[in-house]
Amino acid sequence: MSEPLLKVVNLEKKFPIQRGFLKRTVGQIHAVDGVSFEIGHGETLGLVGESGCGKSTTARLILRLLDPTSGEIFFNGKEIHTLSRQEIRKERKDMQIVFQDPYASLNPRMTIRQIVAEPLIVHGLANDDADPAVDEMIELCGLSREFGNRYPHEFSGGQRQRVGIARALITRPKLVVLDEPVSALDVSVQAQILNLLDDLREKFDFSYLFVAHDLSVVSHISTRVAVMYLGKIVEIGSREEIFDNPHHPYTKALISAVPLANPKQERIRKTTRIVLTGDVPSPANPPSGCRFRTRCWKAQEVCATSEPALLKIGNSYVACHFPEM
Amino acid sequence: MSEFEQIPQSLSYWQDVRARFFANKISILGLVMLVLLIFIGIIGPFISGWKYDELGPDILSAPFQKGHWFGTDDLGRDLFTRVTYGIRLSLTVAIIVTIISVFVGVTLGGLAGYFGGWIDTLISRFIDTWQVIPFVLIGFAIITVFGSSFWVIVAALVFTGWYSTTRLFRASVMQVKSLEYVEAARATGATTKRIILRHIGPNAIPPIIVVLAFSVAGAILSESVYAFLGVGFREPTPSLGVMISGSRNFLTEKPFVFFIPGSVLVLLTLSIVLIGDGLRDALDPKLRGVK
Repeated sequence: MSEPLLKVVNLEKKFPIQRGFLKRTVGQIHAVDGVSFEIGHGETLGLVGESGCGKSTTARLILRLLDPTSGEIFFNGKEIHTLSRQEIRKERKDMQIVFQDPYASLNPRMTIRQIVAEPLIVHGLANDDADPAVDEMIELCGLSREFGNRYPHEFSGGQRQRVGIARALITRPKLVVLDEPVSALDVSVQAQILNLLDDLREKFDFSYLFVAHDLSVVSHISTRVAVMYLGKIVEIGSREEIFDNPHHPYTKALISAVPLANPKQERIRKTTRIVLTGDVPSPANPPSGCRFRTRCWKAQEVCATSEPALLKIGNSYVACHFPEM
Repeated sequence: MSEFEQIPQSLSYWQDVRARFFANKISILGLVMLVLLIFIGIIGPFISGWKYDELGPDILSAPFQKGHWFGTDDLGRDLFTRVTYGIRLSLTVAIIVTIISVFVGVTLGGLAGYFGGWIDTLISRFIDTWQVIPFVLIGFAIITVFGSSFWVIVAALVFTGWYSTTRLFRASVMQVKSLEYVEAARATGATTKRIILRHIGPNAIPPIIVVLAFSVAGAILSESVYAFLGVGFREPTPSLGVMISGSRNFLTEKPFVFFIPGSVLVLLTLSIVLIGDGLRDALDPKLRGVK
């Protein structure tokens, strides 16, 4: 197999918890704890998990918007984790991000054209926002070029997210990180944006890292899916394998939470649905052994004493002592 | 696509601010009052026919008598002339104090807000310490030591005013810095300089403009308070505070000597506060598009 576009090895991020006048460090939040995965050229990896499981942190670490505590990131043949601030700035041409909140991620003082043109100008690919590539990208993302002179507050959430996508794609990056790109939008608009993302990927042939808390969103667009829980990947595999044959109890619970379109199947789903009790434990003080054991219906003594490794089961990798077969 | 149909007429941020400011009747009233007062301040001394320190024979004469529109004070000086000089002096002092305070505030507050860490700790703790010293006492000390000249009084007012603009700009920068579009700019590969100039600056400055207006009004009042307490400008300087202070001995018999400079002071600060209020509403991005 050829070299993957992105390879993440044992990525870790700890945030110190500081208290008091002198900012003493009283503890650590282990937001991302030894995450490894790969994304091939033209592939879409869906990264799924509950709020606070470290999926957005992982996305920001890959782009070096946050500096990792330890671990390695290889992107496009370069060691991203070792680059200086100046060097990483140049690499950003090839790795872009679409943010979750289209209301917060666009500068209210800039016109749509200025926003979309910024990456080009920053990387010296255009002199100003009059570059024809800007209007072209605005239209490709489903907006009319006449709207280029307008300001973000004049647009709806879905339209703004199109602007955010245009900004991310204008430099023709190789990897686009989508940090919950549709979770702030209405369901009807979500589908439009997902279709747009899919069309654009076919057109430009780049890779996506699609971060979401909702498996149903990821199911449309991903080639592979990784499920995260409390800073660790608990299962990673092809989309078909994850959806049709989930091995980790947590994955199973997540899938059973996805509503189905077929009323007969939906009735069955409702009766057999796995409802997890309790909340995600604090990442400042995670449970010993398997981190999911406090909410798992299959947990036994061994789960509290030893941490399960990510092992190959079928076509997926699963971290569980008692995987579903 | 139908979702594009109801987009309103496009206005840039500052066009929108201007439109909303001028749609507000109260702030227009403030602006008109201020322009009138400045106009009187500029032309007053030329049309009154008196000098501000010219002693006359008519002591405490009532308004509109013997060629004195606002009457005279206890030394027979023309009150109208003195009040017009008072407007000039108050506004000049207040504007200079505000410019210096804003300069200090934007520099220190910007440093503390953008870089955080030990720079922020140093500046913030310094302000905390500074704040607990009573401001009248600082002014008192400075003016007692260096005398009550124009620049000493400006310095005393800056000493007591710089930290509020610093705190405000620090908070404003910190708030804008944490917004997602700043992170987005960083993600596109923008340089630090570009992030500060294009993303943080333009969004952190508007709250400062409002404070600017209130700070001018505050400086006018502080200057009068100093003068009244006897540590600001002194006779025969025609400061509004000095005039109010001098009127207290005959407040009951000749109230106009107090009320004329007093109401000019009130109108001056009120007009500026009204403008500041209008600016605050006009600059608030949450009210955009509301007429």
